[in-house]
Amino acid sequence: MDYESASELAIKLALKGGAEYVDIRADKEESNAFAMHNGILNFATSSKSEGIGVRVKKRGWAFFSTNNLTRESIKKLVDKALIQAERIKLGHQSEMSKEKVWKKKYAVKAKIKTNELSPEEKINLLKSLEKETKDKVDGRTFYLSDSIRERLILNSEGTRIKSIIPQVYSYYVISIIEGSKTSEHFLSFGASSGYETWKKWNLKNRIKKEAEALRRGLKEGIKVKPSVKDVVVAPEVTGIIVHESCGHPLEADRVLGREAAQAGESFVKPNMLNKLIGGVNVNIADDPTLEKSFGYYLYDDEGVKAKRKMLMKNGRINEFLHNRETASELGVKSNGSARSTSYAFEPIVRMSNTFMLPGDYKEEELIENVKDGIYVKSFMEWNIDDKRLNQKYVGAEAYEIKNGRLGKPVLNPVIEITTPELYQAVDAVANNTEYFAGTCGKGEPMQGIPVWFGGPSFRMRKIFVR
Amino acid sequence: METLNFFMKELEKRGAEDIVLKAEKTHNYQIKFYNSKIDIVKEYDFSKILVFATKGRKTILTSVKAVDKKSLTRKASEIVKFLSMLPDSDYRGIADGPFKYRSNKNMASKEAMNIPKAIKMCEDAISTAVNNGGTRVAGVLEGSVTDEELISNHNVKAKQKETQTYLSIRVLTDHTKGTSSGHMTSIARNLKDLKAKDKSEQAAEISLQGVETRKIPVGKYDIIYYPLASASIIENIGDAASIFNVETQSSCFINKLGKKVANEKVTISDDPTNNKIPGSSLFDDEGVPTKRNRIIDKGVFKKYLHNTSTAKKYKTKTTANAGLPMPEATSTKLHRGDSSIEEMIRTTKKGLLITNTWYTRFQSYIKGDFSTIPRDSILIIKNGKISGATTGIRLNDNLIRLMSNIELLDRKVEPIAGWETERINQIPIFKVKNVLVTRPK
Repeated sequence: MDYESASELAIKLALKGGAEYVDIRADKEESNAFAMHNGILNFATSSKSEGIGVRVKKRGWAFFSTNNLTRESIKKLVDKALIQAERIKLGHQSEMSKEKVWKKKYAVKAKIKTNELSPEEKINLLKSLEKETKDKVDGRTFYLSDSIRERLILNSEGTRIKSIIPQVYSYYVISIIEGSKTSEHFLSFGASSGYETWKKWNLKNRIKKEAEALRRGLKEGIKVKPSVKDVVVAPEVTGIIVHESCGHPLEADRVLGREAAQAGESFVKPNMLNKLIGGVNVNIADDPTLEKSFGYYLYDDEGVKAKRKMLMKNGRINEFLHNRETASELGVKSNGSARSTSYAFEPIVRMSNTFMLPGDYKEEELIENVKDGIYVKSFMEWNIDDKRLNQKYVGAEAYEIKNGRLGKPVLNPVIEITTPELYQAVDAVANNTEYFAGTCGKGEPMQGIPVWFGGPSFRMRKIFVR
Repeated sequence: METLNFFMKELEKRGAEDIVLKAEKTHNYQIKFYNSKIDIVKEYDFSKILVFATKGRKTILTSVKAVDKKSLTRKASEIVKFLSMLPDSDYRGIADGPFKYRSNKNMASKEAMNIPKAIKMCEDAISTAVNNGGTRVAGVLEGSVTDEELISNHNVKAKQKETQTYLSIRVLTDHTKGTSSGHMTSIARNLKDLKAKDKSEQAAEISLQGVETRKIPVGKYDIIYYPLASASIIENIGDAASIFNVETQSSCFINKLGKKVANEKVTISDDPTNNKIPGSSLFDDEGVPTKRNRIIDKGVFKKYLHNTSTAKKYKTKTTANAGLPMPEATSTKLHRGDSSIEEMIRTTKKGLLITNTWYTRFQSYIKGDFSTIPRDSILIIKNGKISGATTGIRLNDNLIRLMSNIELLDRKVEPIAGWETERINQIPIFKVKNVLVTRPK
């Protein structure tokens, strides 16, 4: 039985068995991945998968997923799910927000389809990176993957959404070694598109430039004297900041405690909507509808129409990310933020493409107005606590700013700061938006999901740097 | 086995040379709870065949779903066609069998898959935590059964069945100054051995210890790590011992063979051989019987982890750490010492007891520089006694420095699993001198 027939059967059986509500995510996916280190192919993988994930409500909630798409297997799992759902005596028995029923099909059109290039041609893309960069970079790991996924979303209210989305993803890890000193950097790019996007990433030039800068840093770099300084961060750093300290704490399931055991809770409470926590020029959005983005979708995995969500508006907390369950609990409509990594997992509240909106300045103008500061172009180490309050970013490529001009390279400057202090320090935002790809981790079992994060350069006044 | 043999022949007919096939059938469940109530019961039912195939020095790793012979024949053609289009890798061969395997005693228990019992255990664990001072309780209880059959065309046939249960329980205590928390996890072959009630009580106790906190100055502290707190760090040490990570410059053990990398009190093994501990295995991904490998012996780095291919390259023997095509660590074990938590506290003038961490991230994998964030209650130790708790700090260290500064290790080694780690590791409580503690200014 194919995934579509299996889905139809599961929904029919669950309703017949007394389910109050049923929804299904069913996928058929093909993917390939290749990795190379210093010119040697580390691995080539290729896989196909097909299966369904079914969520049922009958007093309580139950979920199952399977790739065994036989009538017998599905019937058995539906029957068991209904029994488990009824068995939960102390359960949450949460409701879903009322949402519009949709029947839609959409697809991302690839100019160079993921199956149009042979494995050899794909590996040649990595080989060309190797050829161009091997003279400048001591350690070179290049990774490339692609996928094409058909997804069907069905629910017992009548929603039926079918999508076909191809994706291409690549990352590099480079190591620069100068005597006993090393500098390492990881960066990834991704898009919902075909291979036409690969060229646009221009990885060869990026890696070469980066390698030169990191080597110069090792040769000439100075340690920062721990002190209060102005700091300008570039788009790569902006991306990780907004993802970690704005996107995550505004996920409503964290706010309401559902992720308390592992991914954590949030310093943000439900009554903090509209609270001013940042500078008035801080505007941060999450938008799954950006064309070709890595976190692209037009309907979320509960069948709710996707839209741009303004998470922070003029420095105020403006909107949480919701699925139907959290929306119902807080008395609002879902804003289409339910996602599951694959059919195998339940949908939970997730980011898609999270970014700071651009301001009016050029990056140079941000730097021009700094007497004594640091410019952080890229980072390697970072982390943030489980309430999304206490965070650290360590620069990979960074420079001192003296009287409005970039000076000597700075070795691994550390920004360790709380979320409100960070956003309150922002006084100017540039207009040089860039997006980077990532795989955001959340949930139990862990669900890594494709996202973009990015934005323009921005400036923070008088923050502690060491 | 009949399906695997048929598929093997189809691959060979089409020109594949070395072939390893592993059929995996897994059935698992998870009960998720938060705010002291069960939220959802989930079940997962999957089967697949993992395929490793080679032609010359070309290799491919893929998985297929066995539906019928016709589709397997088609998949065999697709795999060999894909394989023929790849460039050569550094591949040098798989293991020649046959092998004898140890007994599979203690690896499986029917009781692990008793979902009604597991639901009742969650309800009881929640009640216990609330009765012991928790305001809110969150976590998961999981069980799984996995059947594996492995064959290779180098005369290898192996099979095993294992069960696993896992409890993660975090108890949160809301109070006027905020929220404190305590977290415990437990891993076993069956539900009974999870000791859910004990873990719930311990998590509640840790949570209550963190109600009153005070800020501490940044600086150097002696750190006592609970197993859950050090699990991601110890796992990274295991990963760094894989020759693959050494070759790809993501290890702090490059050129360290025979060199001192830790205090002489430190011995670390890769050890998946204890059947009672989930994650143990009778054989690796080539079907080679697993064994204990001492990575670090009394502070000296002794051995990289290999599969047959990398072992041939380095003119040594496989350590039974396939991973195909690259070797992988299995269960990293920090060996026990002769100390106790009481002695560790008593001998600490200025220190912290860390019950849990998360978000361990590296600035340099080659150097081993990292930081990690303590979460849940962090207890302050002053002049040999616990004297309150703190919050909002970060530990900044280096893997080699940490191992060199391990001063005391507990007598008891505990199998530990958590959200931050991919594997089940075996770790005692231990104490490290002079760790840099920072916080936002």
